[in-house]
Amino acid sequence: MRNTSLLLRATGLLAVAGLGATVWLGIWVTPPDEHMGNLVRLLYIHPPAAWVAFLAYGVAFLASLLYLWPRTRDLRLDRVAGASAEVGVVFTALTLLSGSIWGRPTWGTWWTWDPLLTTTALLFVLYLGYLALRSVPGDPVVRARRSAIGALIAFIDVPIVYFSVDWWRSLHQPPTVDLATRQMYVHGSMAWTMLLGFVAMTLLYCWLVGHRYRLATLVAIAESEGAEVALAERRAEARSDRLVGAGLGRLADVPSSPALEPAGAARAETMVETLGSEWRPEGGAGLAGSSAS
Amino acid sequence: MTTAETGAPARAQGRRPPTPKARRTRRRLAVAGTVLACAAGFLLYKALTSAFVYFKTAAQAVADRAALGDSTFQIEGTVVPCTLRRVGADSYDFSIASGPVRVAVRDSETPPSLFQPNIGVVLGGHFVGSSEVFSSSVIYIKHSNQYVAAHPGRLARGTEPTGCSAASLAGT
Amino acid sequence: MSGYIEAGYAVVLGGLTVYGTLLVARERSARRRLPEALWRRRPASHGAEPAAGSPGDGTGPTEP
Repeated sequence: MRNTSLLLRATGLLAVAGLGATVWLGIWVTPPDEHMGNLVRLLYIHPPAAWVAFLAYGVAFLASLLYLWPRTRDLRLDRVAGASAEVGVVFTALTLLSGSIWGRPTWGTWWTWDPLLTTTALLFVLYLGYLALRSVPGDPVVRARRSAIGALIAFIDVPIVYFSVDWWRSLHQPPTVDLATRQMYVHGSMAWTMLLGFVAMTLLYCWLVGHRYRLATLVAIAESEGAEVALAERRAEARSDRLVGAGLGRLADVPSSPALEPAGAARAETMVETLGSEWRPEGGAGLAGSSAS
Repeated sequence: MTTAETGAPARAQGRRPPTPKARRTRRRLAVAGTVLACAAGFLLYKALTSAFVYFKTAAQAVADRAALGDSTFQIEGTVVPCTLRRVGADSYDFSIASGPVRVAVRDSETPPSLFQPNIGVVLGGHFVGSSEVFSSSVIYIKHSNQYVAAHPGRLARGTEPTGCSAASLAGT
Repeated sequence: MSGYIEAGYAVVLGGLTVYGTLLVARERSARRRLPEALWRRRPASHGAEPAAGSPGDGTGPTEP
């Protein structure tokens, strides 16, 4: 739907603007920390990236749970889970990398087998495994069910990561924003800049998941295309037989250009309809339109 | 694409031998799966060993002194003010404390830049001989999750004048 | 500044830019390829036999 497209674009623009403002405030405006000095500036991107990874896995978990629930079973949920998990893996990688870069000058090491770091690395590997599971060829429905179960299993590690600093002894400090007590131990403009980082990264997450979801839908259409085309061909054959019978056989030979053929667009529409009524490439005639360009 | 070429037709027409492309995909996935499973296993092992008891506090280490012998482990405490001394080219002495318990440390690594009195540290090393002196070759700084703007003219928390030179690391 | 800060920002923002760009490119190419895929076997509907070994005759997820 055009509205969805606009919304996605607006989200993307807001995310970029927010990230730009975060970088500007984070690097040039906010003061250095009394202990860490300028190194505190990594506070504005590292915790937000970690938060988005958690959010992404949470969304994948919920979508998978809903998919497994018979009343809400829908392949769109499977695509949401896959899209969110992939974005989550990207953010987990960035969290690990930025944390490592932050750890070297502050802790004195790039990496250590601390509970939080170890369980986060495990999280990364678990969700890479989930993505690998998703790419195992197979019937989409079987695959969706398999993936949903995988997402539920992988999610077990998420609360372990979050609470690892409380449950075990750790080098990593407790989360800067404590979800349980809703406390944040950051001072003044540093706090606002960090919150802006959280908002901007969350918006970017929405934008990325939106596009990843669209890609998944396009791939799903391409995958089911075989079945649908075969069906349409059978219908077309039946129709052309009727047309030939009525002495109008030549009409059936005309459409060599898909853009000129209304039946083609209608067929594509049927596929889009069966895959998800919410989704349109670019307005109603998008498929036929983009084939012409 | 792979599904359209393997899974779906196979279901419709009974089993067909997989195409070379599908075989390649399957092989690649098997390799990726094996690598990931190994990585997950290794990380799980690390989580249950290194990470499960990441450090002993200075008090716990002293209590377990006999059992620890000269084994290598990580010890945690806060740096006691006024105890840092340079004793060699790459050698420093200081003490760490957890609660009332103090442990003297002989360190063979230049402390990281955030090293300062009253900051938490995790040290890797072992007790020397039968003494309660800890010989450390690794210093990690354990900083808090509190961030306060540096204020010119105000001393940072934990570095208030303590009767000794706060800049005892100066010149090192 | 120390170089670590720049490196941290470069890694995070660079990584996100690369991923975002790749994603949009993948979406575009999938969308571009899709109509081709949809109409690739068009001539087959006029021919006597469907393309041999065509994957197009399997059942998809939406087939009841």
